[in-house]
Amino acid sequence: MDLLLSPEQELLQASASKLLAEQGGVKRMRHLRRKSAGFERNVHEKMALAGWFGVLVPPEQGGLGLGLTELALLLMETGRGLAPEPVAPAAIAAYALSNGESSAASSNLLEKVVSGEMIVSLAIEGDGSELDNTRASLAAVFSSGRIVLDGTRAGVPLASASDGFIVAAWSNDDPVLCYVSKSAIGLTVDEHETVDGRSYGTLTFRAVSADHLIAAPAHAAPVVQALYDMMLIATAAELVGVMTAALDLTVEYLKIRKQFGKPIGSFQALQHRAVDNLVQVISTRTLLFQICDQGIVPSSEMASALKAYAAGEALALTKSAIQMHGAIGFTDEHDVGLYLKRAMWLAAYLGNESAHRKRFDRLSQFEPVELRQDH
Amino acid sequence: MFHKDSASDATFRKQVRSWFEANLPRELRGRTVRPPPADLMVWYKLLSERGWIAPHWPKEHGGMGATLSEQIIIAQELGRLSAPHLPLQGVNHLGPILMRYGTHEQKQRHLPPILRGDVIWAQGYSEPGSGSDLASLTTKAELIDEHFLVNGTKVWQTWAHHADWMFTLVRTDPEAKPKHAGISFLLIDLRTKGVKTKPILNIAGDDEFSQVLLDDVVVTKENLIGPLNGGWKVANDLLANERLFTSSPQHALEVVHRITRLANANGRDGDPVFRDKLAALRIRIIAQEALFWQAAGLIANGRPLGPASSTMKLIATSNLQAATDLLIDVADTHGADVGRQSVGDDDVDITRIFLQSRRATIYGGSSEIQRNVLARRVLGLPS
Ligand SMILES: Cc1cc2nc3c(=O)[nH]c(=O)nc-3n(C[C@H](O)[C@H](O)[C@H](O)COP(=O)(O)OP(=O)(O)OC[C@H]3O[C@@H](n4cnc5c(N)ncnc54)[C@H](O)[C@@H]3O)c2cc1C
Repeated sequence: MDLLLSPEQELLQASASKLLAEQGGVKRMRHLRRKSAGFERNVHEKMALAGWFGVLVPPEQGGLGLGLTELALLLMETGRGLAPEPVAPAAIAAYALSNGESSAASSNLLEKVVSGEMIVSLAIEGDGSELDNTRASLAAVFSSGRIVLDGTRAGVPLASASDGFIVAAWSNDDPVLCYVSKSAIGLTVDEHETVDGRSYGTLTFRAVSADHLIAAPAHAAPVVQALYDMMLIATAAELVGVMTAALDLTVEYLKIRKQFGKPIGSFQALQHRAVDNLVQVISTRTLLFQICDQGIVPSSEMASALKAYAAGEALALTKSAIQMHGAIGFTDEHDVGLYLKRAMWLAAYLGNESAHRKRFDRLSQFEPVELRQDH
Repeated sequence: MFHKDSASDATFRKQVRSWFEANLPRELRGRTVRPPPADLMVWYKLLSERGWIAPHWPKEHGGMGATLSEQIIIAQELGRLSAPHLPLQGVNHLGPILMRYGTHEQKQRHLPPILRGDVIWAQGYSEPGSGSDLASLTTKAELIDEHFLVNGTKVWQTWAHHADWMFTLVRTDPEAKPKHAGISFLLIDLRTKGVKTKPILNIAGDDEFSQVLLDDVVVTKENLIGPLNGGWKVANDLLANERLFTSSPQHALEVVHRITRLANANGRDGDPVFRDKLAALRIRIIAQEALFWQAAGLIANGRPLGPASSTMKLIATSNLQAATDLLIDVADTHGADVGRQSVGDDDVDITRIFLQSRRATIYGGSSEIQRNVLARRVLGLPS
């Protein structure tokens, strides 16, 4: 509506939308709810074929060599269509592999992630308020050429159905990034069902040997930071998609549902509510795009600002959408509830509004100008 | 935040900043109440002599012909020093209207005094019975030979009691349907016989605006701008820039500066409840900045803002008011004190700032009116 997208970007968004519609759209998601895998490998492969997981990977490594805006566009469509596939983890795992140390193992894995042959999720989060992988929760020890992991990683999307994980751990004072396959000895996965009908896992590592190193302590810090902040932006992009769809559904309903002899959308109380929701979508989307425009590695401060804002606005909007539907919005049958539930997961994932406000406050400096002082 | 100055803009900013710091009188900085004309117009005239009073006017009319980014820089640097708000009805509203709709004589006569600050203009649109529904206005102007005879009452005119002239909307066809088709745009010299201005004390205790009584006021025909009965279009043809600047994050940020200074001074900066509120506010202002720079990009590319200006006004005014909420909150038990409070190097009258910010959601199209516009024009909801 008010974006400054290039024709190529518009095309990418349209083709993503088409791909998801062809797979069955929201109806497909409804059928997959609470099923063991929670998503479909064949759809994941179709996304791979369309280049989705290589979006941040340079062409010489088999990717599309595009930026965060393009990733955001794909994820907005993922959110709009409630696609359950782990799109953001795959695309960002691929980014990690292409930006780590070059090794045969990494490039082999990169190829399989980009082609959709393997499902690799991200295990970069501590539990609860331990945002951006504070060291306490997972320790890495280098011993006779191996990396041995002990501790936990939380909030790993679709962990049980994944083939392996990009894991961020701490070796003394430095982060290290490595790959661990799900079948690794000593690794257990605890599944938690989420309200949107999918699941995430808590990984427990007991003397687990990592399969291979992606970034060593000396170099891993910026990569690990970038992964976390990119995931925040990716999550916000999905939230924008969810918000867009929930608002569209609602505005449609306001035009067709009649009470007191006229469409309920003619009542000013509902018009103003819907406009406030419109403003939420526009502002969140604009913030998302402006931040994506800053370059491929986002600032942590801005990533947290965005996650906090998107989480708050998306929950407010999807709750308002239910209210404007009346009782039909309270049913399991109506899709509007699916958007609220996806918003709940995305809002909580990697830290909610409160947590990211706090992180924003910690990271950002605000210096008031001295009015009467000369410079 | 979302914008980096180009090399030439950075040079320009430096130049503007050092000139403002050297020339903006200290006693005019950080004022919460607009100083009287005798004090304020000194700064207006200084800016005028420097050639910076009308950044957006083209050079042929004596303006700066500044690029959009230069205009933004000037606004930012003025905000940085909390420069006082000047009476800019002439520069911002009437000037562009005259350039577009005025005759050669009308431009010659009125533009130069606006630039020099010799004439202060008031905007005479609202009436006691016509606020949001402006098209219902009833101030009557009858065309008799070569002049109009004007009768009626205008109200809420900012600074009209200090103004020399007023541009106004008057009814020239009482039968017209729709109502806005019977309205004309007229300039009135406020010293004309039959004009009376009565200042009105506002909620913050200032006489910022006035009532203007028009009793058999004779206005010659040369003061009609645009066609007879064509005034509605003339008045509503606001510049996209203008809409952009009223939604600038600068206004809320100026309050955030004061909040942080106050919190640093009274120790609230260590209070987690306060920090959370401040972080929430700052994040909302960052989202506003994103909108602002996107809109600036559109305007710089010659694209219309359209309903985006309503979105921006809603966000800008709610952020400003959220900021002034936090300003009295951070003041703790002093949150209802009258008068200036010393805050570090600054003296702030916080209750006045809070009270003044009430106006933001009322004038310039109230928030409810902006929502009506968006409901119709963007969401396509039925009436
Ligand atoms: C500080 C200040 C400076 C001003 N300066 C000037 C000036 O220089 N020149 C000038 O001409 N005017 C000026 N105004 C007047 C301003 O333009 C009007 O206040 C504005 O148009 C609103 O009109 P009103 O005050 O009559 O409110 P009303 O229109 O009576 O509105 C009252 C309330 O009803 C709501 N409302 C009205 N219609 C609707 C609707 N259709 N749907 C839902 N809600 C509705 C409004 O949002 C508001 O909340 C100024 C006002 C202020 C506060």
